[in-house]
Amino acid sequence: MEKGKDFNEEAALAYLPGRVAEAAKRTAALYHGVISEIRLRAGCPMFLSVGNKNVSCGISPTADELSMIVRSLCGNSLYCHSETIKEGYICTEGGIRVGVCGRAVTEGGKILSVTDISSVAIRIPHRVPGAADGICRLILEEGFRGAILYSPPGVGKTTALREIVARLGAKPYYIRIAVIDTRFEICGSLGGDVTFDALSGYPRAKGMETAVRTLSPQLILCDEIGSEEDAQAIYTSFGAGVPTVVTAHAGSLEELCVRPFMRALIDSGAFTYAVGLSRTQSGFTLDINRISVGETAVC
Amino acid sequence: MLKLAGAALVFIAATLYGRGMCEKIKRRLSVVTALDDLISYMRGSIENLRLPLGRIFDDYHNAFLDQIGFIDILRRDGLAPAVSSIEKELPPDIYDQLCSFAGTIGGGSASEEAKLCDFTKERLQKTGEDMRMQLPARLKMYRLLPLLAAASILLLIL
Repeated sequence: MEKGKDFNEEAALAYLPGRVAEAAKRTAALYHGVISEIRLRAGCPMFLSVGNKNVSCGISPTADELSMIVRSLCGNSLYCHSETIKEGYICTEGGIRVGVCGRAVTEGGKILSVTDISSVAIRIPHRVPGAADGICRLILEEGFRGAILYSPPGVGKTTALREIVARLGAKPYYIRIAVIDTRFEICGSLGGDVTFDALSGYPRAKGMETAVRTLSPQLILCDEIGSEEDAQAIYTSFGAGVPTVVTAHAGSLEELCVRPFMRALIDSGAFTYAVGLSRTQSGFTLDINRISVGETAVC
Repeated sequence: MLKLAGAALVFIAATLYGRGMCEKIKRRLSVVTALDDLISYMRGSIENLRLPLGRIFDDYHNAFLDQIGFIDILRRDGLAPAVSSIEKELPPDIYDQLCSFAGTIGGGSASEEAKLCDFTKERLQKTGEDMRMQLPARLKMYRLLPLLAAASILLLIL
């Protein structure tokens, strides 16, 4: 994957204590690659994802260091992130995504708080200009109703969405795009000439509803749909004549349709395409599946 | 003649000392009042807006704290160094309380932070009230100091 101009590696390493950051830099330099993920576990070796490899850095952060990293990622303001930590992530500036887990305090099946954070996975977003051009061509087709992008975690669905915004929200298209950026992952590293309405932090369904009602978008983008409520909001948006491009975790179209609400959504005709993503050195390979309206035997 | 000149010098020195002390007391009260205002602002921003501390410090304005250089340090280095920079302006117990506040704030949930702000605010307000109550008597004392000192010297030398 080539280096994009909005490169966040330095920003991500700035959250780490000196010795940990130095070890990460040294390891990345050995593999001549761009760090896409930093995995830290208390008392266990730190791992980096460089290119498509997972490599050990040879040092283990202590529990204190991990706690310091979490505090630093939260801008010394844990209260800003307590809700998202319960959901398993922290949003930082610049769209850096941080997955966290630790000891959950529960009551009646609900997570009240998460303490003693023991694992932190820092995923560094990269711009990959032009990587989503194939998807943009589909969006610009006459009669486009929507698309669902699917892949296993870590392939680049969010990157693809970001590149769609960067391409279609800029000259010469200037499409009115509403981005439902629930986890602050998509819009953070976009800037310059790109125009879009960012509904940052909105729950997906509420964000889509708000966008349709108030922003008159020509396209809605939403990352990682995963509930019936999300599916209902996409269907409402489709009913209002606004195409949506959404992403979901799945290794194949068949896997995608395992979830009944997803199957119902695809069958409803809300999408023209289901696009499987797989990563290559320079971008993505697309597995484009055209979906006919009312098609039930797609999976 | 020399004795009178000596008494005059004592009078002037005591006047300057008294004025200095009056200014110090008023300044201490202003610092306590301004910090009370800062903590109220932090509480509101944390509880209602969930803003991170860095953003709260960037947004906060107070002419007095700005004048004494507190705001610059607050924005650049954070709350603990800023409090440390005004140690001499604060009563020792309030300084300790503020150091503890600065070390703890940001590490809990919004409701915990609000409680911490309330507790510190209460301490600051109580100290401010005590200082305000004692202010007239103390000012009077420091204003009388030069007269008393000069009179004592005169009585001694006559």
